[in-house]
Amino acid sequence: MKKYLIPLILGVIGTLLILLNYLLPIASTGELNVRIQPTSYIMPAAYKVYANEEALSGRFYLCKILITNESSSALENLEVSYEIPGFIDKNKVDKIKYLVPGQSAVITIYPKFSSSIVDKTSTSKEKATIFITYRKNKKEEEYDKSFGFEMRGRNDLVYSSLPNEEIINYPDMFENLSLISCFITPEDPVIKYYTQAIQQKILKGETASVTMKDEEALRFLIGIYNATLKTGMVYSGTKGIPIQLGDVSSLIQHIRLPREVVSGNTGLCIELSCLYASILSCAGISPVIFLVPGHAYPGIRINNNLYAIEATGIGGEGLGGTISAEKALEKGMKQLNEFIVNVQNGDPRYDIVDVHSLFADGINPMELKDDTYLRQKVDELALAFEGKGTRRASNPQQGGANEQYTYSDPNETNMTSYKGVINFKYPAFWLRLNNPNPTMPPLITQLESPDRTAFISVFQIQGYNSTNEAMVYLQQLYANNGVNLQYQNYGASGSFTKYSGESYSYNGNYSWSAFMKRSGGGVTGIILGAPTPYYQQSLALLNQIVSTIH
Amino acid sequence: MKKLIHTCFLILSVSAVMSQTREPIKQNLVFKIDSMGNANIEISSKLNAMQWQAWENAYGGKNISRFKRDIERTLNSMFLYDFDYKENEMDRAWSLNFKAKGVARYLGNNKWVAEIGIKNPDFSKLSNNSYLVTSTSDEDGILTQQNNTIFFPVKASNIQEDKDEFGLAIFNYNLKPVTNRSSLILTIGLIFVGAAIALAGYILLKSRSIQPLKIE
Repeated sequence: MKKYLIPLILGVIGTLLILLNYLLPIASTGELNVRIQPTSYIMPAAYKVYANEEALSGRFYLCKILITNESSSALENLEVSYEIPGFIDKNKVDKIKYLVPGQSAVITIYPKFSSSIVDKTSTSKEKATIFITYRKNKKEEEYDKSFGFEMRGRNDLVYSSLPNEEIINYPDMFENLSLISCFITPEDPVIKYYTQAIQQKILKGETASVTMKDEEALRFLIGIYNATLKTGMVYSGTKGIPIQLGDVSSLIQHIRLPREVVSGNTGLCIELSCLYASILSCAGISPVIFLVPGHAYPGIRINNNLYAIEATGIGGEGLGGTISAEKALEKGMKQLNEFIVNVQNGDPRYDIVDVHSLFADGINPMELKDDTYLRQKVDELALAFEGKGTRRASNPQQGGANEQYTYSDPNETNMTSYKGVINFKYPAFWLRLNNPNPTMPPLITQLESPDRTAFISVFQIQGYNSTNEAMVYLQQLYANNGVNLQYQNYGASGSFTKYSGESYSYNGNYSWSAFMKRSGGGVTGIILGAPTPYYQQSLALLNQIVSTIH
Repeated sequence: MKKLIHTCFLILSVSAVMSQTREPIKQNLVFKIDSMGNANIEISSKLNAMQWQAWENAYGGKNISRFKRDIERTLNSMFLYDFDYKENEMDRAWSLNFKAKGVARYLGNNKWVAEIGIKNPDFSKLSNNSYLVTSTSDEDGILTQQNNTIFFPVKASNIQEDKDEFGLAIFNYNLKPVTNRSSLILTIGLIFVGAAIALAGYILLKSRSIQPLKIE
């Protein structure tokens, strides 16, 4: 019998293993593995985009959850809910009937805020909680986890969702620009009322959306300009601030809503463009907004033709006067021609916002309640349409001195100090990015004006004994990044060696000067410049910065 | 997946408009869905000269992480990892491989549903466990032609194509769920039992063969 001992043992072990296979689920102590990728911030203006998983490829969400069943039992009736106290009550988002051992499920939460979220005018820290319930081995289990995020005010547009170190070019910096259509509010009762006043008192009737004639649509565009001119609306700045949101360091612009532009009788270029787009859309005309570096202006698309008007021509007495509607249209059309040339040259900084197309893609505007006070304000303004109420004291001047490429925020003239491998002063409102491009380690800081018409790059280049060698190294480094650098040595400038040159790339041409010096074990210095078309315009400021380098 | 293509090729719109030729961007996608509802996905494309230049400017060379980011953002219903990008400049071709978790869901009773996310799909059955789904889109001046080959697990049966409420392609199929751990224990157990039976049989046969002959 002894000779059967080994097969007997093997048989017993095998039988035990087979039994164990069926007993394991009961004895399991495995866990549910949950991984949450939360958002850093929510923009109330875009609440309809957050609720729509189809809008902008569904990239605006509250969080994405990866759930993996790491136990050896199947999980049943797995339900995922979430809540944001004060905004969204506990709300079920998904139910997974079974999650077998080893299986993963991905759930993306698109928060459904009520329209009252647009009453929020300031920023606050909020908390979201995720709840997961499931049945395991006939026993109910629960899991919950919270995370914090920043709830911005309704007027805030965060231009980029990318972490600081991921931003390497203009499109990255303004990747959320499509959300501008959330600030275009043709359904706002106040804007509807304002539009009706223009149709009645400025245009004395119009048929643009019915006849679809170019001339009639242009008459409407000029009518809006005249309405803003007659009420004494002026061009003015608003804050755009570099801010840190979790991983994201981005330019956030405070954009006044069209109703606020009407009631305040003032607006920045982008705000005036949104007002025009709202009125045009309300009247059934297809509005567009042309975006160029540092500026935006409104227009229309009709019968496959594009028209543009320089809305900021209203200027203001403090800005040197105004230009007539005809001149504003002429200026807009001239800018449009330049825009088309730049788009055809592939310059990514020139973009067009087709408002109705964005609406169709689910990037819809916020819903606003009617407001009796604002209607009264529109009534007051409408008196000016007929020459009775408030109006500008001065007469429109031909070729007014309004300069659309500058913001008029007085704080912009404040300078702040850059202290580090090199010291200098630069405008305090400029955007600062540290180590902006991982493929260019010597580029330790990038400073840019919000309108992208001037920049400073700070370099620390280790291992080079001369500035000429360092410049050759930079030339190679930029070439690896698709930028062709051409420059000349202009000799000593104080303790620095000065170089001047141009760079050419897919992103456009830049004119610049470099100031380099030997320092420690290498070379340090800065390159400061501007896109070539804006170099002359930015030269005075750049020279001012150069005078502070030491 | 159409959304993905649209996002990835938005950058090509300028050149597409400039060229006026309206040559479609052709793209091949291969989904290999495993028995746990996860998938290996390969996207590949061959471009003309103008498309290649725009591609290189947007994603090629040293900026491929941007492509990865755009794909991750577009495929929000999946968890993506293990990216591998290859490029053949001589043929103006590129391919990207990655893994995706959560492509198919188990509904119980051996039934699964895979949400592929292709808009306006045309289905063709290639074999018992593979389908070809083609789709064409024309957005913002970008004409895109997409060929998606979807391989289901070998043991999947009763595969049926369908569309969800948004008109996106989905597949329902039957497959008994397996778990790696239990199947491994079961396999080892069966091997032990098999070995025990074989060994016992061998000993029995051997002991019979050496028995002395009895002469009666």
